[in-house]
Order: sequence, then C-alpha cells, then structure tokens
Amino acid sequence: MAAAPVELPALEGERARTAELVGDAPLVDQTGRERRVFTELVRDRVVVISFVYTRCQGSCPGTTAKLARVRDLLGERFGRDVTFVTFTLDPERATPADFAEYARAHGVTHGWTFLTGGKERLDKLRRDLGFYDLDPVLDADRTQHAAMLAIGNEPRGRWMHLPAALPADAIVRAIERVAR
Amino acid sequence: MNRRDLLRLSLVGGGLAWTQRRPLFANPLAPPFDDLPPSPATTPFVTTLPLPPVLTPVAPFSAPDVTFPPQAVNPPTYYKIISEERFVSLHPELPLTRVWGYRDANVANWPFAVGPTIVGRAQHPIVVRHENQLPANHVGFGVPEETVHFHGGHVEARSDGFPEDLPNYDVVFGSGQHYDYGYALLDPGFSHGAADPTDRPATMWYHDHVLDFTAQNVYSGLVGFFLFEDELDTLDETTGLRLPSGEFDVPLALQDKRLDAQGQLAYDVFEHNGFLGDKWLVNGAIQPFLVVKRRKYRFRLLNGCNARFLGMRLIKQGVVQRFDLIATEGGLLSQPLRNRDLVFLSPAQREDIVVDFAQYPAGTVLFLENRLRQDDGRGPSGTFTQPEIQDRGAKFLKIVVGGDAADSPPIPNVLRPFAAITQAQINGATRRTFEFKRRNGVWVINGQPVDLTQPMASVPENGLEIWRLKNGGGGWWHPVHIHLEFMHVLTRNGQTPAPDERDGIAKRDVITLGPNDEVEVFFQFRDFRGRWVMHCHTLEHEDAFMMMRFDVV
Repeated sequence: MAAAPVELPALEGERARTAELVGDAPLVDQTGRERRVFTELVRDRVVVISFVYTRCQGSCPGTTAKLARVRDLLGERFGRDVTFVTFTLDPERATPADFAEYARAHGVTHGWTFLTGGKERLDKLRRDLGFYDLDPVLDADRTQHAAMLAIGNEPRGRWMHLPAALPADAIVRAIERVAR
Repeated sequence: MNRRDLLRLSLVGGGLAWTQRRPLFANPLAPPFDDLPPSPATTPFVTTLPLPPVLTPVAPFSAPDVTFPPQAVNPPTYYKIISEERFVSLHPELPLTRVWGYRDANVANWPFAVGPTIVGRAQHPIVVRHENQLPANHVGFGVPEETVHFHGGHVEARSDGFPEDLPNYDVVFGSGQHYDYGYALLDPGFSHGAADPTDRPATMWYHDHVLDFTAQNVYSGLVGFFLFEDELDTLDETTGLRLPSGEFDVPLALQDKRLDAQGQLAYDVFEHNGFLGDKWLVNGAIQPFLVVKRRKYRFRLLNGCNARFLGMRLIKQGVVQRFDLIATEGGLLSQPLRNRDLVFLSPAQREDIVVDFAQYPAGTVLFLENRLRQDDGRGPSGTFTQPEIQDRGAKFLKIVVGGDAADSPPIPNVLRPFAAITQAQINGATRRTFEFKRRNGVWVINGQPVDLTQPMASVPENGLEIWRLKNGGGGWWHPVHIHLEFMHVLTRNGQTPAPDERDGIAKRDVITLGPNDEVEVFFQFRDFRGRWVMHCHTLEHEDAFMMMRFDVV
C-alpha cells in the first residue's frame, strides 16, 4: 500500500504525542477501505484498542469475545460514545477479508474497526501503544500481546491499560472512568 | 532512535545478549531507556532543600461520615487539605512547573511540590477534609478524581483510600467535591482489649490511590508525609527517646521525574511497565542542597518514585559513610541497626536513619546518592539480597557541614521492642499464597487480573494469617504493599530475613519481591472490618490491575 505523506492535525501536549504515536499513515479496515488511523478512528473519541490475529488460538478469541460482551453491555453507547479498534498482530498474513469474516463471526455491525497493513507500521504502533514486552523473546511472540486492552479518551489525553480477562462489567466501568 | 526502535534493531540483528543488561547504557547517569527525550540539563545543588511545613488545624467542622470507635476518647483535631493545580519551581533554571499537589487550607500559596506534613499523635484522633480543587476539564495525564490513601495507617476502611467506588460505597471524590477522613490513631488491637503500643508507625505518607490512574496522579504530585508521635518518639529531643527533632528531623521524599523542554512534567501514558525519570528530586526540588550543623540528624527517607528502586548511600569524597538505621515503614526498630551503609528502598518504602555530622569538620561535603542500576520498569540489576551496587550514582542531595550546635544524646540501644511472632502463633495461622506474575503481557495475582468488586480472600478479623508472597518470575521486581496492618516478615526464600526486615527487629508495609523471591509474612488484621487491597507499588503495575481486594470479615 502506498503510504501517501499525511499531515498530522495540530494538537498540543499529550494529544500531540498520541497523534504522533498513533499516526495517520493509513491501514486497511475489514471492508478494504484505507483509514487514517488517528484522524478517523482515534481523534475526538473514546476508544478501546486491542491487538489480535484471526488464526490465534491463545488469548485472542477470549479478548475479542470479551469485547463483544462489553459492546453488548454498552448498548446504544457503543458506536456513539465508545468505539473499538483492533489491530492485527499478523500483518504478513492478515487480509481485510479475514477480518471481515472475523467481524461477522463476532456480530460486528458498526463501531468496531479491524485494521491490517504494513508490518513495520503495525509493529511500531504495537510497541508505541504499550503492547510489547521488554524481553525480546517474549516480544517476538505474537501470542503475548493479545491479552491487554488500551482505553483512551483522546480529547482528554487520558489513557490506561487493563487485562482483557477482567469481567466485562469491570471493563465497562473502566471505560466509563476514562470517558468522564 | 527510541527504546522500541532499539528493541526492534536488536531483534533484526539476531538479538543483543539481553542478559548483559544492555551494555549501551553502562553509564548510570545516562537517560533511562525509553521514548521521551531527556530532560533539560540543570545545574545541580543550587537550590535549598524544600521543607514543606506541618499541616495546621482548623476550627472543628461537621463531618457526619466520620465515626470514631468508642475507644477514641480524646477530642479530634480537624484539618483541611486542598488538592489543586499549581505552578512551582522545581529548579531555579527552569520555568515554573505545573503540578498537582496538596496544600494546607490555612495557607493561600503553597510554593512546594510536596504537600503539608501531617503530624498525628497516638490516641489523638484527627479528621482531615480533602477538598478536590483539581481542574475538572484537565487535558493530559492525571485524572481530577481522588481517593486518599493513608499509607501506613491503621484506620477504618472508608478512610483508607479504597481505589474504586462500589455499590453503596462512594470513596472517590471528583473536582469540586470533598471527602472527610477519620484517623483514630488508636493502637492496633484496641477493639479486642489488646491494644498494642509496640505496633506504632513512625514515617508514613499519604497519596492518591484512584484506580487505573494512581501512577499518573502520584507522579503529578499528590503526595505528602504523615509523621507519628507518641511518648517514645516525641518529635522533641528533650523527651522520650530523645531522637533528633525539630530542624534536625528531616523528611526526604525521593522522586524521579522527567521534564520536557519547557520544564513541564513529562510522562508516557503508554508505558505500563514502569515509568522512570531522569531528574532526581528531594521534597520536590531537583538536586537541592542542605546545610547541616555538626551534630546528629534524623533523615526520614521515602521512595516516592513510581517505579524506581533506590539504593541510597551517603558519600564523602567517594568514600561510603556509615549511619544508624532506626525505623522502617513499620515504625521504630526494636533496636538501632548501627553502621549501615545502604538504604534500600523499593517504591513506597521508608527508612529513618541517624547521621552524626559531628564527625565531620565544617565545610565537609557529602552526597546522598542512588547507587542502584535500573534501566526499565522491571527493577534494578541484581537480586534483592545482592543488588548490583555501582561505584557511582545519581546524586539526589548535597549536604554541606556547617557550624556547631547542641546535640541530642546518643541513640539508645533499645528503641521500641516488640515480641516476635511465636511458634504457637505460626502453627495456628491460616496460610495463603499469592503469586505476582506477568502473563501474556498483563499483570496477574494467582493467575487473575483483579476485579475489585469481589474479594480474592476473606480473612476473619483478628485471625492469624501467614501469606506467602511469591514472585512469578520473568525478571520483574514487585514491591508488594498490603493495607491495614504491618507485616511481620518470617522468611525470605526459606531463610531468616536480614535484620532490617526480620520479625522481632523490624516491620514492613511494603515487601520487596525481587526476581524469584518468596517471602512469608504474618498478619493479624485487627479492629477494622471492610474492604482492603494488596497491590504492587510499582504504580504502573498497580494501575494495570496488579491488585487484589481482601475483606476483613
């Protein structure tokens, strides 16, 4: 995919840093559309970020299933006040079609974007958002990065991480705290 | 190039030998290993050590939520603390820095980064109203919501600073709200007719404890000392144990921070492994100096860092100096430990030392230095029993020996003796094991990320408990803090612990789990039923849910 140079929006302080880390170099969503990640999916939003891959037999299915329950608990707030962004941990193999099927299997209709794209871009993004391990052996193991969620309230510059294995209602409360 | 780029390069190149602990960063003064640019340079030792004043009382006010037990017979003293955003000087060469901090409501302008020092006296209850005046519309790290933990206190559950609101249990207060805390300051065991005057604290602190954001809020500055006095530790060197007092009793809050080019606090909200700074602050000033008299001083050292472990040495012209250790988190030791040369402090730990400057001629210069090596949130190099102590370090404080002054008497050979746990108590205790581990990139205790709506353990009030605290490995260190009671440390890795954490000599409220450590600690959770927490005090680990709730029932 040709990554056209994109201009980052003018933001200050923590928000500028997040804009830089997330970046706007496009990734491709489950419908095959290119998305400017920060501007289209993070800016001015409360967002729950996860990293999974569709062939994963480890933490990923539980994480995605948990997010689906969180979505259900959020009810009408989901898609309106809170959105989900899931990045692939397997950029070399993941295709938009894989994610389209994965999304269908999890009943995704709106508010939840699954992104794939260049390996270098996704690797850097994963590390910059804290989904990494200081031990390079563990870091190279993609199964290690699917058990965590990052919850952000971009306009507040407010970000936290939590384990996806928490009960869905605890994750909803965390989202509510971040969203305040 | 940032840390994660380096990590990637190391992978591309087939991997640096990770066990060599990153030889690129052999210089202990090199900036920490992460993404933010280094802080601007500042000239060390050009500003005096700040000494935030003691909190002053206010007229009694109605605090309907506070109830004291009937054993609290003395009338309470009332205080008000305001938490606010303010601009303070961390260093004269920098612009003023925006911090969040506590201030005495009686004082209009609080020029300190660190809050007022609370002084509480045994058996004299106090009520502290905390008023949250943090900016409601704040943008950036830190949340303007608070719950204030009295770290080291033995107080009712609702005044302990539980991290999260639960149904019918509102403990978090937002901007524009206040919360009244009641600290009875009674001796543990009072409700069972077994008040234990040997179980009293010395140096404590209070800090924010709000769920998910404790690291950001504490880093922003919501920190203050809480000192305890009684008939032995009188804070008056003419009475009791006659320990150095007044201007010769100096709390030292040791913290690391990172500043941006404008001198403002920088933080990495995506760094949940543990955030490290590259500026060394004491009581909110970067590398200050203190002029001392030629006599004895008591220094109360607090590790107020989010994730940095400290191994503090007192150095004169490159030579390690000796001092007496008289207290840990659990109060005065049963006896002083003489001729110590290192204060090892995990995050949130405290140790009180006595240094005799009469041995030095006027004009002598000494430095309080951190000699540990730590490059990331995992912890320092080495093990807890054998940390890697470097031959140079980060200088936190310069001490200049000045003129003579009347001295306090020698530190007595007996401080606050207390009975070690007996074999009968050990035999009668309920045993539980808690393993602190990183699994699939998240922090767990006994395999679970913790939901504070449910207790992981329910312990009977006044029952005997032995908890085996176990490090689940991976090279991570975890300073484990348990609320409500001090720990009697029975064994470390099956061995008798070192004197500064050995039952019968010392008590602790933070126990350090170095790599692969296993520590057995004894408790009796007395007097206050309710909800409490145990957590890792590497604040980023705590915020990523390395925390459990236990109920005293």
